[in-house]
Amino acid sequence: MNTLKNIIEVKNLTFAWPTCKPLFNQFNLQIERHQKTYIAGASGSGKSTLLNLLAGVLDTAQGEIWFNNHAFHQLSRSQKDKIRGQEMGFIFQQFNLIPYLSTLDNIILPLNLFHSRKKSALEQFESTQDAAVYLMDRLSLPIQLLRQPVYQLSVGQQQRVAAARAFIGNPKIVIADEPSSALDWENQAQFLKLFLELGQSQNITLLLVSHDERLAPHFDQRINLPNGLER
Amino acid sequence: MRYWIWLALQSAISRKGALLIIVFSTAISVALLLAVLKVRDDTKISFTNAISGVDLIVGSKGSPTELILYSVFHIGRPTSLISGKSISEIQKINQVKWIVPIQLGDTYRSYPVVGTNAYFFDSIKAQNRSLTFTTGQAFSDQKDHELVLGANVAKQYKHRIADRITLSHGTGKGPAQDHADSPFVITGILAATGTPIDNSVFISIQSFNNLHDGSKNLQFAQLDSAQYTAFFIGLQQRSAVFSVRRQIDALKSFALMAIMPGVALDELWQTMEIAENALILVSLGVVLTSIFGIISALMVSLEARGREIATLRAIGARPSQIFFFIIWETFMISLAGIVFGWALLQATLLVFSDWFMKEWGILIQSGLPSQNDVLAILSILTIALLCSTLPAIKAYRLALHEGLNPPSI
Repeated sequence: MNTLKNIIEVKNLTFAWPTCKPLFNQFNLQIERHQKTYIAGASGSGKSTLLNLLAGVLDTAQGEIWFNNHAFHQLSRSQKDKIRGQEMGFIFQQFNLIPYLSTLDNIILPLNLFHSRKKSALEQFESTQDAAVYLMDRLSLPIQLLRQPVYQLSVGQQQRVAAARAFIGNPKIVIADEPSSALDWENQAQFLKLFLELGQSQNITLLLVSHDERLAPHFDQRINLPNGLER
Repeated sequence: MRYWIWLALQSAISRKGALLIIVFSTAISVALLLAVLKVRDDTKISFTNAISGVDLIVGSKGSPTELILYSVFHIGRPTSLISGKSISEIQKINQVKWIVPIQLGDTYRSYPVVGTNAYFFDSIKAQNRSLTFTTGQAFSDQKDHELVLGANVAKQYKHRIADRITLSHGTGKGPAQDHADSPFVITGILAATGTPIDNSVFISIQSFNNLHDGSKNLQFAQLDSAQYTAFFIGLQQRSAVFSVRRQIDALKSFALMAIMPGVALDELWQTMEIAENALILVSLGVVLTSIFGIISALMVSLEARGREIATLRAIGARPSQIFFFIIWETFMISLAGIVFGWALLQATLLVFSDWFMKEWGILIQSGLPSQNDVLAILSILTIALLCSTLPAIKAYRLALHEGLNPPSI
């Protein structure tokens, strides 16, 4: 059915919000393992919808979505929740950090929710804290921030905490949603560089969704959403 | 699980101000509810323990309820009095330990005057406590014109030991009804009991008879010739109560009736069912109000947690984990509120118990929660938990609907 070569495979996906014309019609998509993919699309092109479908948050109506040999179109919501937590890392547009937890506790949150990620982190590091400190170092986050509540951090720092949380415990893929929207260009470029380096060194597939064309050249593959220019 | 408990605690600490207010309002509701239940129970106990330490009350044949009403509560009058000659007959019955005679009819400024003997103060218990004097002592059976005041009578007229007062014949309403020729001296004032004793004036049988016969120096032997309203009887052994009652009822020449005060008081309380139902209705109202108060506070607090829950969902937390995360907080808050509320009530009762007794005549004591209290507390806890499942499910659904990008605050 699916190939081990592709980590994500979308076949003949048709999806429409109620009372709207279909966002996707017989849509196909392949993302290879360890590749860096850029998904382009203006707002309203269905970027968020596609991400929610790939993450298993939205149910597949028609067609197939395969993620790392899991048939998302056949699984229950809670099964997809589990796979998402264990094998995916997300950097959300709004970061979605837990405001009352420290930097450390935010970064290691997935390790505490998913045993397999904790196990994976502890194969590499002495403790979960060491794993977090390593990622903070790679993302140029000052170690002094470790015990600080995240709401005291700057926006740029919060984004890196969100990235560290996505990368911790070796997920199969890290998906970043519009990482550019909250930062100025210089910080964006800096963040993108660290993001790509980290993915490369950890052998993690990277998927970035953005409308900012300036980011596109740094990726192996570029995918244009079908109706990006409509509406 | 342990991680979720820890996370819920961190979350709660970050919202401690709002949560403390919820805990406090829950505590107030719980305290109010327990107070209503307590007043209900203790009012009944106060009433049915209006007289204790007495095994039988003897009066002329008639209605047991009436006998209780006039002999203990001093309401109404007997249709006929009992002859003093019956005393010696009753004394002959095995197991009878003591007889305290009661005479009624006179008043002191609308408070009933009770003719009895000094043994009354040693043998009769109110609210299962022996009578005590705040000042002074019992009158002497041998001396005339001495009297003891109940707590309320003394308080109302600010009487003190050695004051002289004048009693009235009958209700004291008609002209020339005062026994002004024979003033009495106060020898003692009783402590408050929360029973009709507080509203009574006690004199000796001798004084009572002297007032009406005009003769002096009536001796105990002559008490046979007087007439009495009722006798309070104590037995050697409580177990003999049925046999003694039968023997008194069987004294043919006197037409007597003996009743067990506990049973009669309980029956009398049953007749006040309406009052008790009203109290139950009030407590139900309080229960509902407190539960709704707790739920609405919880709902508001859950509204504020939408983003936090959406984030945890997006990271991959399972529905059961989110559910536990929310329910656990409800449980902690409700429990804290209940414990705090109970403590609040106990502290209040501890401080104000004496005041309630003095002002209201109801003995309300702090103590362990009753079976009803536990039931009420458990129902509050259960309903709070059940109701928080709704927002818990709603929070989960909301997080799903908004997908991976919950709106920022």
